[in-house]
Amino acid sequence: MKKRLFFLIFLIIILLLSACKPSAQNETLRPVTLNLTYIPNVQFAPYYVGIEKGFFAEAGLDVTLAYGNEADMVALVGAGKEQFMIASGEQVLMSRAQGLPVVSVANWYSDYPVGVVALKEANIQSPADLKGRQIGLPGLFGASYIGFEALARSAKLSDSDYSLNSIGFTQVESLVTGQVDAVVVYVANEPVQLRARGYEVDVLRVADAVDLVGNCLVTNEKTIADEPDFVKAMAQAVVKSIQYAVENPEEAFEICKKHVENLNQLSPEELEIQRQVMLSSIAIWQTKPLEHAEQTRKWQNMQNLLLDLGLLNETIEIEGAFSDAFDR
Amino acid sequence: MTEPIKNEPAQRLGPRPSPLLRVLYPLGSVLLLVNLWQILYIALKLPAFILPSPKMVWDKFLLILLNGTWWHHLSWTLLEILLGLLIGGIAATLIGYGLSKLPFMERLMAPFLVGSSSLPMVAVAPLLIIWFGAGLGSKVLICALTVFFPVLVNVLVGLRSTPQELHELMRSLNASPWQKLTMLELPAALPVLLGGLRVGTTLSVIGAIVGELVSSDRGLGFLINVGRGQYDTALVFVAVLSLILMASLLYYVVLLLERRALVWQTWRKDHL
Repeated sequence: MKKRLFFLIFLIIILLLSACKPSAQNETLRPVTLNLTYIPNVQFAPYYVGIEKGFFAEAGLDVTLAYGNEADMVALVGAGKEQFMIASGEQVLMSRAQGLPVVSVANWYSDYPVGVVALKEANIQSPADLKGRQIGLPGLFGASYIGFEALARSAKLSDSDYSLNSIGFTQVESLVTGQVDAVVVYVANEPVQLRARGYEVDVLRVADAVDLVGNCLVTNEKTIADEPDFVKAMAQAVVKSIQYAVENPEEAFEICKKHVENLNQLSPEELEIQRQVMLSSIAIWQTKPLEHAEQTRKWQNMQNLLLDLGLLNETIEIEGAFSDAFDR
Repeated sequence: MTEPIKNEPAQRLGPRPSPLLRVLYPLGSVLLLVNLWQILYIALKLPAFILPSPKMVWDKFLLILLNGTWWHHLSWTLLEILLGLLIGGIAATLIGYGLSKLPFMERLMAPFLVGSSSLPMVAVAPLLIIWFGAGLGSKVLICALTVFFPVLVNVLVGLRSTPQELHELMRSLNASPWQKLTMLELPAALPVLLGGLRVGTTLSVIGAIVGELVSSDRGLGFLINVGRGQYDTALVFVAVLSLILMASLLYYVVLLLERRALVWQTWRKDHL
């Protein structure tokens, strides 16, 4: 009896193991992982486009996408265990200050993608209106926190002027149930979600207050030094994928359906919301590589903000944090 | 040291109900809960992304069941749990046996055993994923670690609870170490060991989900993340309810295994 039971358990495990087939790999292409943060989402359309339209393959790359915590991923790329990821500008500078030699090699977002959203009745129409308010944000870290502080500082407000609540990723729910007066969000996502659900909202964009470096393609100094062609292939394929998605949004959205879990199972109304999220995300993507002076200015702004917030203790060499030798 | 998990069935209240009633009671409680939920849904008038109705959740379940998504993710989480249980359980049993034979090692390990009961897996999981990658391996490791310590403590306690006179009897019969293990120590430790495994099973479900919530592209934890990201709260409900169902089923499988393995104990209780 016992033998039969163990055999049965063994059989179940074998069956389950057989469910994980290794993916077919093209031998002539170089396998590489591109680490995205968050979870599969229509906002990552360029990378799905790059895979499905063969832009990565044309560059000799067999790209696998992975999702995870931004700070963990930066540590892996900085330590040379992974080669590429998408990270926000402040992560690059803060990691470099910690001795992790990460470098931005292509810009994805032209605008810093963070903003503050409030229901119309809260009457928050300028950063100065944030005074005395309860603000909800995922936590005192990452792009949301940095973006909010930049916005508050543009109105000469400091932390004693408002109350910050760490609410995790429950911004929409916390806002509509009245737990906070305003929430810090990605401007391409939550405002669209709220409007589609019939809420009238006001949005304050960080990008309107200060020009900061948003999400970019990040690698490490070792990969740049050892294999510049590899970095160039990746950066140019990413830029090409972004451009294609911008020019062909409807096709890009169809491609997303293959990569974003559950998208096909949403109701037509919910699916339309996701399409709107992708379209408003496209509006803040970088379609042409930035000029050097412009890049330097954005990185300098970010550094000044981080110094002001005490997240950097001393200035670092800005020129080392980004390179425009690969994306054009 | 951490308290071992006692393996004694709870005292039954009143006489044993008939088989029909034993099915009807849980069914009734589920129906009651669903009705309460429906009343709440109607009364509170919350948007569906905050509280979906039972029907929305049921429809979502049918949808992902029929197109294979549900099994695709559930089987992955189940695989992580079973592999974790197997590896964690075997490692804990072997190491536990070794420690029981080497008292000085046990004393050396004592601080870890005590500390392990308060190991916050939520805090450790991201590190394990950084060290071992985001694939199946790190999730299995997280599960194995959650199972390891309760089983280890129970193995130690179980082996120590063997009556001294039985040890002396074995010695007087000139039993080999193998005979001692299979005929005395293992049967004596089994009730406590399986009690540990039973608790480990439910813990490993939590372990797998913690790992998947941190970083994954498959599994019920991943499905929860996707549902949250798309404001598809019905999907989150389906994933969470599936987890509860899976954890309960696993618990009963171990319970069944326990009953089979410990037939002699029931016999002893009935006859002695």
